[in-house]
Amino acid sequence: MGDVYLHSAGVVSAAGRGLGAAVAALRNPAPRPVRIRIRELQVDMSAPYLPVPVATERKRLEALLDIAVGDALAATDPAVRGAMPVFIGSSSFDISAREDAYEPGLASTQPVIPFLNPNNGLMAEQVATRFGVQGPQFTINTACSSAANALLYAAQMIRRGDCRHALVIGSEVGNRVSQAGFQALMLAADSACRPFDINRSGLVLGEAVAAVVLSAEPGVGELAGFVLRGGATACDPASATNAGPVALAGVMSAALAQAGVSGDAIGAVKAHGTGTPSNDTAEAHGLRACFGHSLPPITSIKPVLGHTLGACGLLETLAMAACWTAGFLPPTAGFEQPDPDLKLIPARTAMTLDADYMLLNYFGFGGNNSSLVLARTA
Amino acid sequence: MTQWRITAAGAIQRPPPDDPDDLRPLMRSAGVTGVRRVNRYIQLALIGARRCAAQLVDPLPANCPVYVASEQGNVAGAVDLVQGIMLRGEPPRPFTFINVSSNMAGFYIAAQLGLTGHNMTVSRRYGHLGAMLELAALDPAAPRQWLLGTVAECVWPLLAHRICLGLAADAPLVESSYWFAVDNDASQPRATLTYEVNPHLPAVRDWLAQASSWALDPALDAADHDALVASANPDARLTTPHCHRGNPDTVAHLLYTALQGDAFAPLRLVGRDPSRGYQLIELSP
Repeated sequence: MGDVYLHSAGVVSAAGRGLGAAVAALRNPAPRPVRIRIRELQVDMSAPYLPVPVATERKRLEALLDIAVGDALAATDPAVRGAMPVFIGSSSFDISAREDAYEPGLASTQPVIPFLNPNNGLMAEQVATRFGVQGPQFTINTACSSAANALLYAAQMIRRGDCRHALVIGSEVGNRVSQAGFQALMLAADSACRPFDINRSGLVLGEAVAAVVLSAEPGVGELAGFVLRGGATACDPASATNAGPVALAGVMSAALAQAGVSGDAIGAVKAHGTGTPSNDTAEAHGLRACFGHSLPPITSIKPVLGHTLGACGLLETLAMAACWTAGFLPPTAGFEQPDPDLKLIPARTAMTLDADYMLLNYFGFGGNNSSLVLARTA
Repeated sequence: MTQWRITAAGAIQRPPPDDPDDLRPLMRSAGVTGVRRVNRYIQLALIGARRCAAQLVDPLPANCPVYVASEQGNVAGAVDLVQGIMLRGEPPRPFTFINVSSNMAGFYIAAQLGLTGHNMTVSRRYGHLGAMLELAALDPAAPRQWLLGTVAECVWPLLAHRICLGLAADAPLVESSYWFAVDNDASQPRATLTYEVNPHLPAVRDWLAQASSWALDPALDAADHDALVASANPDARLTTPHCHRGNPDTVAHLLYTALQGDAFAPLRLVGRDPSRGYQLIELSP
């Protein structure tokens, strides 16, 4: 089976539009989350948030999707788009648009339904229609590993020879349900995300849409030479919300085995690194179980881009590839003081990155754990 | 074309009561144990999957993946969360928020049955069962056994659900979850399902004309529906009370119903796939 390349991409994230903006933000991190307060709530709940700093004059979900997908497809021959499958990974789908549509009706005396014609596949169909992409559509929801799994299945489709190109999208646009939900779970950070730090207090949500054309043909620009070598996904049925280190080590090891890469060959790890006490503890112990005592350099980029939930599996993969091209492993912003229980110190400053392989972790509620192996071949 | 050897099927399917009733007795009778604080969507999935697993001679292997297809996902939970926050000003309750993610159904099924393979939840605008089959066939772990299912729930009050779907006030509704255990190494499966996508209406008409028993997905558009009906043997048409627009899982219902008989004629189903044509599903003894 042939290689599967990251070919061309488009992203909008807390860093702005494009991978260049993400690289700049990750090289010298200075995240400045805004404070989100949901005005309809009767209780005062607020949390830091990293929105896309792009004003949109029309429907935000549609606008952000169009920017990211348009940029990803810009280098693609329109004739190629015709048969391209579309894989979307998302945890909130179009709920932001549903909320927007519901808001004006709240003042009405007539009963209003927030979901008219609900359909989790609608977003993929609309994107496909707007961009003339006519292959099969798959909308995958595995919580925070959604887009990583979309990448795995799209890559498999190319490896099997069912298609030569596939459009993969990760989407997570700001919405009240996600913001209030993570606050209700008491998983939102006080002010900043501090992965693996002893004083970590939780995650900072972020907004992003990322899109990539996966291809049997080598990529271009900042993605030139990147191959999605392999990966693995598995269900840990032990807990709906807390990943277990044994299961995490298992999925990382399975990803390495599937990719045919030994742990010694991994030059860096992009941790899931949410900054929640439970995730970082489990991930640190899982990394030790997978790699033993010779851990590769490890980083988390969620303090800068936010935890973009269902989109992070693609956004962070693309951002790491772009940083790799620029020659550095981004530091873990917010990390100051090691947690002795973790025995893990992530990258504190930007490090030179000259490696062949990187492991990238994405873990979700529902025991949905995934790891990807990215290779740089040029 | 992909082929699936079905070894067991289980389901819950019923018209929804005027007010949501307690499904816990049905969960207990299906053998679901140790599950608390889950929503109705997850309960439906657990009942259907447990009933399916109960039909198996041997338990599913631990690496068996679980695939869930759903058109609308946990729509009742999502409506409740949005209304709770925006209309009532209430923050979400933790488990209400956690469980709204549609992949939680697969998680609880995996936990019940001791499965650690892939847990995938997939949707498509039309033909989500077909999308699930296409995705399961791509499973990078290349399993030989799968647990494949669908879930469709209602929003209460049911008038709201009908408004959500653009249905008439008296349109019939169904809440359901259908499950199929597949073992492609099984020497004596209960049935074999074949699936393919065909873009050409004349070829689909010919295929349907040769069917000894057939049915159409209600999601087909009117012109396609009429063209296919005109070409097929009217005496071989299979209709059941659950074949209507208020049931997003009509195709799964038809497959499950066919499998309930000791012997059945091969069944051909045509589903909608607007971007590529038509989904052709055949169930053979």
